[in-house]
Amino acid sequence: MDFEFTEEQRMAIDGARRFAQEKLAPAVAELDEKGEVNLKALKELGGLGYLGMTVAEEDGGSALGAVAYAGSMIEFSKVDAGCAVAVSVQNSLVNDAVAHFGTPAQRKRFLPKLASGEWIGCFSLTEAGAGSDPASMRTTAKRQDGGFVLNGTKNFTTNGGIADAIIVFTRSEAPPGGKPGISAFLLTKDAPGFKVGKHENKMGIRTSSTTEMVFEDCRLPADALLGEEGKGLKVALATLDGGRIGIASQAVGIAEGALEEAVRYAKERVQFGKPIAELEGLQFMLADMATEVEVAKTMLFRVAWMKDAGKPRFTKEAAMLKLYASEMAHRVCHKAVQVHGGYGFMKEYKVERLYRDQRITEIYEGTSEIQRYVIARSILGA
Amino acid sequence: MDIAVILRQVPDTEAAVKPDPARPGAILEGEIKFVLNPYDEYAVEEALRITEKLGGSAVGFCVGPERSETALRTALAMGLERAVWVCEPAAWQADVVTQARVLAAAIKSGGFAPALILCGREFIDTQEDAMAAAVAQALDIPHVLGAAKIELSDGKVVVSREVEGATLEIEAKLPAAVSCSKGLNEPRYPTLIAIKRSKNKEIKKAALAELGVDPGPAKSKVLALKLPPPRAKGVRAEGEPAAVASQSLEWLANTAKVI
Repeated sequence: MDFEFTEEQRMAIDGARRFAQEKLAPAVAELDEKGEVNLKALKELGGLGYLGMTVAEEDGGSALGAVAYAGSMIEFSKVDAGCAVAVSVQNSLVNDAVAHFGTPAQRKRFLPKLASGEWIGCFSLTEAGAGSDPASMRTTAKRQDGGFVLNGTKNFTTNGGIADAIIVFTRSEAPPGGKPGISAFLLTKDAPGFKVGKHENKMGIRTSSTTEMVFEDCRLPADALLGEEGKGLKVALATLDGGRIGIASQAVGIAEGALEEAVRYAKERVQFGKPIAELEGLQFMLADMATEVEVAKTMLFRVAWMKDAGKPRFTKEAAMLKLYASEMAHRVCHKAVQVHGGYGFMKEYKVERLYRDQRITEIYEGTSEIQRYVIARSILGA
Repeated sequence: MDIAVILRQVPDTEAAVKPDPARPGAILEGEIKFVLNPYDEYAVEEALRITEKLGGSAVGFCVGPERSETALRTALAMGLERAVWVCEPAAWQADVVTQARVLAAAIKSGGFAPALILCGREFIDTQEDAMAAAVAQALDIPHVLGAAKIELSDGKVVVSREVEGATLEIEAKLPAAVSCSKGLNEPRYPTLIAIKRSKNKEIKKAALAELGVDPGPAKSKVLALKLPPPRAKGVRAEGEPAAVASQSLEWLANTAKVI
């Protein structure tokens, strides 16, 4: 067992920290206020290799692995959690799905452009009536003229408004004598009959794009199918295991950012004639926050290591990690605002944004309740 | 055009530096993060831009302790071709003029004959800014300080230096040593692929004996690193505004003696 980063993991993470400080930090408050994406920075991250961290070099990726990816995600999330989720979606949901389920032609066409950031990708699973229960989705794909015709509306798609490449999940027609299933498709934004719908106005991660995706008689060739017809749920669930590493590292980064702000503020803020950091009540709060961040971080790097080590399944561990990290971030951000008192409620202070940004980590890519369901099933052998 | 870049590792600007009571002039290194000297990044970037345009090799040279390797890796990941490193304590514990002699010998070794030697304008920790000049002295070549712009033509270098309210243009014959300042360029971030590739680039450890340099007795030495004394408690004036004002004035005039 070795808890040290390799030289290249350390350098990748240092680079991410520096990029976050120099390129994300100066812009984030204003972009958060306006609800806009830092697309320039996101593209630059692509050029540096941070959008293809688990993509093989022969497919145009940087192939640094999940540990370096998780460490880099922490650094981006501390500063701009909206930009970080775009990085997470690209790496964990889009690239991984194309790499594992794509045909050689799909990999060749999509991966180099995605890994370099020339194309931004999205993963469109959720619908108004199908959140935690994706199998109840209503968007359809009917076979027609040797291809498919898609109809329906997806929502809450991260990167929707900036996506060039789209993975979308639909109901598929039942094969003769079989049951209807879910199918995944891989398309580009210029597919006829596709358009971006409503842009959501969110509580947090406002520097990310979240939109509806509208399919009206959207015609796709047969080779747009990602994985087997009717086996799309497998694509979604397998990909979401890796996605949980991305969201957990986002939560850890937000929490660590909030902790750093709270420590700084507690040392500066004077009440009753001394810095509030000298008050035991505050010290205990900070000690608990730091401990919780450390626990989540240790879990995070272990699960990332499992992925890098090629462990076939880490569903239970990924669910535990995502559950713990996101709820930990909730507690830590709550306390970080509390340490700041009234100032923590003001937009002038970074913790106000981190507190809002944290909330979604308990919801997307599997709610806490779904994670508990997955964990319970696993330990009960159901 | 071949270029030598002098590299130095320094504590991160955000590091809280404390003197080491056991080693005069040194800092406690336990928790400190070390980085490539930020001014050296301008030198590396400039060397890369010039060699990308004109061809030739950009090679790093460093005198520094074992921990310096991470700074060398950073420079290699940015794009330097290879690095030469003298890590014997007798070299890196020496005064700046002696270190410059070691660097000059290392730069000349192995038949390398750079037309330009670039260096950061100072080390951000000790604010030592004589390295480029001392290397130039050791090699008996011209030296120009603080480049905000570097232009090359016909065996000459023209350096622009920002001075108070104006820009100074200085010409020197090549080979020359130039120290690089902020504003010269925007240093690149290493790409992840370049970080991976840098692992295979050569860092050659050069020994003093092999370079034929005897550091000799120190020409100068650091005696101590002292933090400023903690700030004294303030004086509080209380009462009616008029009384506060006259008390304050009295204090400023007679105690602090600033008015």
